[in-house]
Amino acid sequence: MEEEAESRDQLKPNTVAVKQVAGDIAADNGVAKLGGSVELESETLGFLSQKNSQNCSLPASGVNALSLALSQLTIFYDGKVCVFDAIPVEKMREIMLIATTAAGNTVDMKNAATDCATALASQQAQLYPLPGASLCKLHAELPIARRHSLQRFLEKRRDRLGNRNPYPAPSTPNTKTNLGAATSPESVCFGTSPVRPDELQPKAPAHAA
Amino acid sequence: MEERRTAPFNTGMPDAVLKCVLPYLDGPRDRASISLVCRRWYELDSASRKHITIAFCYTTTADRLGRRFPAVESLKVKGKPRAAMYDLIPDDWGGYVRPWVQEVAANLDRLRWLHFRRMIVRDSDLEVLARSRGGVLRALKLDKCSGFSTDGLFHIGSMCRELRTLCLEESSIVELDGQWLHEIAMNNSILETLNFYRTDLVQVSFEDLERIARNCCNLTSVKISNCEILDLVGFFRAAAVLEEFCGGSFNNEQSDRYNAVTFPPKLCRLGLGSHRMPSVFPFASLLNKLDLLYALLDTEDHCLLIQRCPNLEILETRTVIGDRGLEVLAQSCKKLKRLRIERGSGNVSVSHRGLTVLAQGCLALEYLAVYVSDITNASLESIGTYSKNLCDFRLALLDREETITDFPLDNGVRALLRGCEKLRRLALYLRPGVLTDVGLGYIGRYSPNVRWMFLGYVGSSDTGLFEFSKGCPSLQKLEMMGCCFSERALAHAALQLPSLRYLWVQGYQTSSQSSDDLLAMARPCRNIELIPARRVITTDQVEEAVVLEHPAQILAYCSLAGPRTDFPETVISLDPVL
Repeated sequence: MEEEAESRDQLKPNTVAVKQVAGDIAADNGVAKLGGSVELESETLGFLSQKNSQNCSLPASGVNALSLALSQLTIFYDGKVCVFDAIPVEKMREIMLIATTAAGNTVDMKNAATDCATALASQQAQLYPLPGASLCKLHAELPIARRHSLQRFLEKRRDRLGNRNPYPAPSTPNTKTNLGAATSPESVCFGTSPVRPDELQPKAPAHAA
Repeated sequence: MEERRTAPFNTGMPDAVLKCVLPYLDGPRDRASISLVCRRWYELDSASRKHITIAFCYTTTADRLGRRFPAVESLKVKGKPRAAMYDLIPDDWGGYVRPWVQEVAANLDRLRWLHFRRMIVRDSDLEVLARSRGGVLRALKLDKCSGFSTDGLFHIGSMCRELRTLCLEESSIVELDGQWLHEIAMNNSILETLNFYRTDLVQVSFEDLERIARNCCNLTSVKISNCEILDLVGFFRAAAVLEEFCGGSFNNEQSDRYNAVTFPPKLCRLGLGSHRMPSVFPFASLLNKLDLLYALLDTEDHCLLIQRCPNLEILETRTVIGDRGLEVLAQSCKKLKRLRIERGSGNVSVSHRGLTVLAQGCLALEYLAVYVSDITNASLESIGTYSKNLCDFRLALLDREETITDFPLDNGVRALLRGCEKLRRLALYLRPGVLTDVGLGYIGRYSPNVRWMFLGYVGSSDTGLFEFSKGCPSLQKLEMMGCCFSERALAHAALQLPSLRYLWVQGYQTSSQSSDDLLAMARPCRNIELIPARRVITTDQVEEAVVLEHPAQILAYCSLAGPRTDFPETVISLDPVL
């Protein structure tokens, strides 16, 4: 185990040694976490180290990761964190099965990739320890809380302008480069030019809103 | 240390001298130091302390305040956690003003200025206050409060005739009528500040506003809710010395009529809920504060307006200002001290590009709060290099972009902290992976003067929190969201951080043994409260049910008052004795 840890350290200089905890396996393409203490058999470790030597030498570029449609596997064991890229789903299942059998617990084998995991699976991501999958899930599910006063204003204005789609899709590719005047639904420029009748919806007086 | 308890400590300074000096020392930290020297100085301080801020209402009791500082003239009490502004705290959580009002009414004879923030106020409390201190009260601020109606305000209007300041900003008030404002109009001739901005009070009559403007020759600041601007022509004409105006709405289809509205000549602080910026152009160069949070301007409009405001010191707006607006700001507004960019709902966003330019251009910046869609280490370094006056920095990373350009941000955050030596308040709301445990350790190591922090989705394991809590020597108040930290780590941090007296956490790794790990942080004079995970069902604007899952919350704070006794069902007090 020590040699494996060192070799991993060489390949992944930023692996953080977490404090001594019971072994955990967190598959980043699914929320699968073994609770309590897990003892991995030595043959399991051998299997894992084999996988390690195959995969850790290749920092998966974004292109490779996409073309192979692979997932990332994070293993917490004996105070070390290991991140494996480019693990085919079937292999991952095998690993989980072995670990499960060793641990004697049931594991929830969800296959859906979390948005967070894929988002962070870029070139840089695998060099840094990833936070637990449960945290990514929490972040994905909980929108940033809005300040109450501003939220009310935005809702009222949305109603007045008759726009029923309050959250336009953020994934437009040129969003970042769009530094020019916005034509977003939220802001209609009146300025000094005459107001175009089609932009104005019949509005209730604001104080009744 | 005292060996002879009865003998007074000889400071070599007669009381008379100290009493001459004390009035010049009004900073709370100085006063706190003075009170620790010896019993005599403690007594002299107590007798002469003029202002008290109770940063959290459950840290002490109202009668303790009255016993120690009977001569206090100005009192500020804060209640609910800040998260209440984001709808994360149950409405009935607590923070009742009643005990404080009762103390004011019974014992605090010198009280003139009263400010409650995020607290629950009842009409009966306002009546008690008005009856007992109405003759002398000079300022009342009910700031983000709730639980009262316009009937309570009626008592204030009719009995508090010495009021110079009435502020109700962002409070949730049940509106029964507009009589309260009428009472003020009929009874008050010395009002200087009137504020019911961001409230839903709409039954107020513009004639009453006009009457107030005519009667009160020192009226300098008026912030209202949605009242049609065309109705305020008379008000603006009468308010000759008005310097600040916010609110109002522009609903009239005949937009020409707005050209007839002339603003008072000394107006230099403005907030308009409008698209009609050209009417502001004539006096834009006078403006030192601009509130565009509720304006209907797009990026271009922002640019056109901002470039005409060379004296601007304070700007609040939404992300629609865009990076381009920040460039214009950097070029035109060299005196800018405070900038707040709230989250809008459109496509335009603010990013590291705008922030870098801003930092280089606006060197006087003291407060910066911004929602960004993207951020880089380089831009944070720029802030560290140029924003040498920055005391308060708040950054929230929106989730609109799937990946951000440059992460982790460990080095950028370190550079910012090392560069901004005056930093007192810090907020970073990020996402998993953007600030690693190493970065969290940097925050601990490089924030010697920071007293308040809000951290969201930072770090990746307990190690990060462990490293963080080795530092932060001045940290008094810590708020965290979306933590990967275990209860044990949180308890450890609460014990390690030397100045910590208030901890709020939502979203953390709950441990299997219910709350025993948290009790590790239990100490005498420390309360620990839990709000377990809740499911809140609300209806959105299209009348559909929306289910919100609120993760569990912890609130731990130092207190001389013992555990609370007034909490609702949603709140659980952890008492190690039980």
